[in-house]
Amino acid sequence: MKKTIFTRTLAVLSAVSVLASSAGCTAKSQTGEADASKATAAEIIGVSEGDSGFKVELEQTDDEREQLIAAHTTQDGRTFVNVAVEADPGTLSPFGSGVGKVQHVIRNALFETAMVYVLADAKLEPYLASGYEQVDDVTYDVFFKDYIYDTEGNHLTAEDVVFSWLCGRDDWNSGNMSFIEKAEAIDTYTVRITMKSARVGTFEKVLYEGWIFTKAAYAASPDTFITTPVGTSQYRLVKWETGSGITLEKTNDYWEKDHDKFSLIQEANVDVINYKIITEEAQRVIAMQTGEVDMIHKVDFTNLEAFNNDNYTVFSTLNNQIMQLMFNCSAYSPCGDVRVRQAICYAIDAAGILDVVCSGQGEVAWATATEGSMDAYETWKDRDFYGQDVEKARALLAEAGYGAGNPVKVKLMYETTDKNAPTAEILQAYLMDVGIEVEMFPCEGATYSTYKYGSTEFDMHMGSVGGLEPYCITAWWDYKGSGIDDKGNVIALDDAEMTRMIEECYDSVTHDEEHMTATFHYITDNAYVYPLYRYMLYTITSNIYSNMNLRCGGREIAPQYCRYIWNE
Amino acid sequence: MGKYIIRRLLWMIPVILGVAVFIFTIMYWVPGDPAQLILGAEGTPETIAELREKMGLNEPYGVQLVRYLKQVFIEFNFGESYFTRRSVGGELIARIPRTVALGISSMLLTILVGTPLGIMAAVYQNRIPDRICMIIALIGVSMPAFWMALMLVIVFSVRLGILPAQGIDGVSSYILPILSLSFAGWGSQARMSRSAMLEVIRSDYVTTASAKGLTQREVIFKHALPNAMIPIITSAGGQLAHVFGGSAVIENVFSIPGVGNYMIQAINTRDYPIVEGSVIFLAIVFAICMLLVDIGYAFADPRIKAQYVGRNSKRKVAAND
Repeated sequence: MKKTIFTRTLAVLSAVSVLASSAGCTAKSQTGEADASKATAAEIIGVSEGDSGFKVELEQTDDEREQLIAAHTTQDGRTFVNVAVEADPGTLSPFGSGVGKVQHVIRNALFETAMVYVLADAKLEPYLASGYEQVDDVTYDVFFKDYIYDTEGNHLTAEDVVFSWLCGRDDWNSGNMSFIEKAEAIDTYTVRITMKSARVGTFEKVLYEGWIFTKAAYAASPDTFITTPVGTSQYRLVKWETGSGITLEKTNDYWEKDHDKFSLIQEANVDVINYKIITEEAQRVIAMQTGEVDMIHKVDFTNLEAFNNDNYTVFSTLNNQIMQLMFNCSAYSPCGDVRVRQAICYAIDAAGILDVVCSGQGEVAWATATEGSMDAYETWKDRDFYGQDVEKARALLAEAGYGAGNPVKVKLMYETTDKNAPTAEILQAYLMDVGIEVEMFPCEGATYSTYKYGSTEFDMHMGSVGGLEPYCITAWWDYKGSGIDDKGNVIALDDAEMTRMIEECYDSVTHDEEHMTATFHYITDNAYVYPLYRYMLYTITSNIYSNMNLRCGGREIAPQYCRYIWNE
Repeated sequence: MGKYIIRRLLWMIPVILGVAVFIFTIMYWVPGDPAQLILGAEGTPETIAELREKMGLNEPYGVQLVRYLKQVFIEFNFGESYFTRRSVGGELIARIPRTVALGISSMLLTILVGTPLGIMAAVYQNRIPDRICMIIALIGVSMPAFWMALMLVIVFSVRLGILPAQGIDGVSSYILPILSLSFAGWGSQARMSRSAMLEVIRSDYVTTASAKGLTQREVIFKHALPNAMIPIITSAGGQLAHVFGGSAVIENVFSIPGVGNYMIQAINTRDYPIVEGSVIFLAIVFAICMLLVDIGYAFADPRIKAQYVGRNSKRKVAAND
């Protein structure tokens, strides 16, 4: 009897401990709303779009300042900063994609491009090139500075630029460089580049995403720069322990000697940057709390409470990417009917989703475009854009032949992320309210990326789009095509008029406000997509930062040109 | 015994071959196009098709399989990562020591803690030490390894500040990962050890040994434990699967750049050469560990050893005749 009672008690205690541990795992998300608002009030500064700086007013005594500087100075007097990144880049080659965005972050510190795209100003600025001139619809002359050297002392000429760009084009992961038809050096420091078409944005991408290096350094590399990159920037790679950390050191031999000519991204305000690879977000937060790192990026708002004190600064930036709902517009899906699509749009309250998923930390999206796009227009905001209207949604469904006895059944596909999953659940609830039954189809990233081009896998799918492009037409490219058979179309759309309009917008001659506005209205009127929201990205720093700069709409860190207390 | 080991080693070849075919087939059929993932949003149907052609992904299954098997088993080349172009073999060689160190250390700790817990529980059956050991065992099997990992980090790194939270800077960096990974194994190892010991303790020869006036220590360690070792060794072998399988999660939590971490990233990006290479490596490790377990049987159980010695002796006699 005693044994039975004891055994049962033990079993109950074990069950309670398992439940308690599960509750502990979820408690943070339940209190997330309170945490975010507390942190928001106390520490968050700066809401910005793009590559602009946030000045931090640090309240430090001289002693505190000296201690911090001493703690970030090596024995030989060089300043250093430790930054957490979420993955090993895999490769530092200037071509193609490594793993995630980390490769891009570190490449930015090692290599330079002809020009730089400043999102905040929506324009290109000179970098290695002093400017360019358009020769005809597809041909441009790009003028390079004549005193550029890489970190190995090799002098950069037009031949090196041609070599760099054509290497990028011919790489099997050529990306944006694939638009180059031809490139040649017409004099020592001038490159004539011919694009394959007059497609808007493609030449600009070569200018600001085509990394440049010398032929001599590339030939000397034993592995085509994969682990031995040599660029023209102020930094060089000194150590890379795969999966653990990467160290860059500032050279003292940068080609641009006149500091007055520096653009923001040429600044090098710290001597040594240690990128610590910490894959788990919780561990990055802990590393920040223990002082192991000085900056963490893309922190979820539920983790902000721990930094609500004077030892940290929290920066918030509106993510340039938009969470968007995309419909299967083919005849195979109920969403092929425009009335059904419009009904779904009217059933949704995007502000409500933002409130629940992100505790209101973000902004409702108004188009597949952002203020940072060079071809998005303020007047677009004026139109009525499917505000929640449940009665209208039901009326449209009735008009389409659906009702209580014949409900619409749709399949919602999405990649399982911490934002997508709750967003999908709320969408399901909104749609149930108007009589639409939603079957959820969560899948992992690679599967989602493949299936979104297959019309039989979904009736609607949800994901983040756009963000880093200077032109929103680049995101609209995914809506053109012949529909089911055309794998370049994420909405299974077979609309010749849509294709014609997009192609006109893509032509640099007709890429103007009239055509862009007409296309925007066409996409919106037909409800091919429904933009939901943009959420906040948080960056947390220790008190060594006196000015924070981020790249690519706040999505990338750039510790090299932040300012530190030792720069003041 | 030597022939037995050689025979087992030879049997490993078709096993590893089978694993290679199996993992290749799975990756062939799993949804997700590496060419599309590499090119991302910039990929058009034409560029994706062209890249698939370059990568050899358009060839029939049989052709791709034969090419892969030839590359791995004849050329001893695991290929290059689709994304980073780095040699998979080179990366595995760099990462293997960390995974093996983590795995072997965890397994040893599991055996060194779990087995004595189980023995103590069996010896003091139904008394307080038994209860305490079984509570520890129950907690061990109930708590997920990743949760235990984060709890240990909060206590030892954040609150006490005595151990690093992640990374591989020195021996101290491995303490928390090893504890997290082995903790779950304590429970199952303790329970198996207890069960095996209880079965043996009730045997007549153990009763006789006690009756003869031997000390408890002598009874347990000279008579009971050797006979209970077979299931304990079997359980330890089973822990290997748990340890190496769980190491992927623990490596991710503690940012240890091991094989598990490498493989998880590659699965998400459909980097086939890395996934296939990692699985084949893990299969080789398992096969070797199972061989060591079988050899352990021979040393633990004289009857098994006698079988092989007996066979050899009979053959020698027959040959002399």
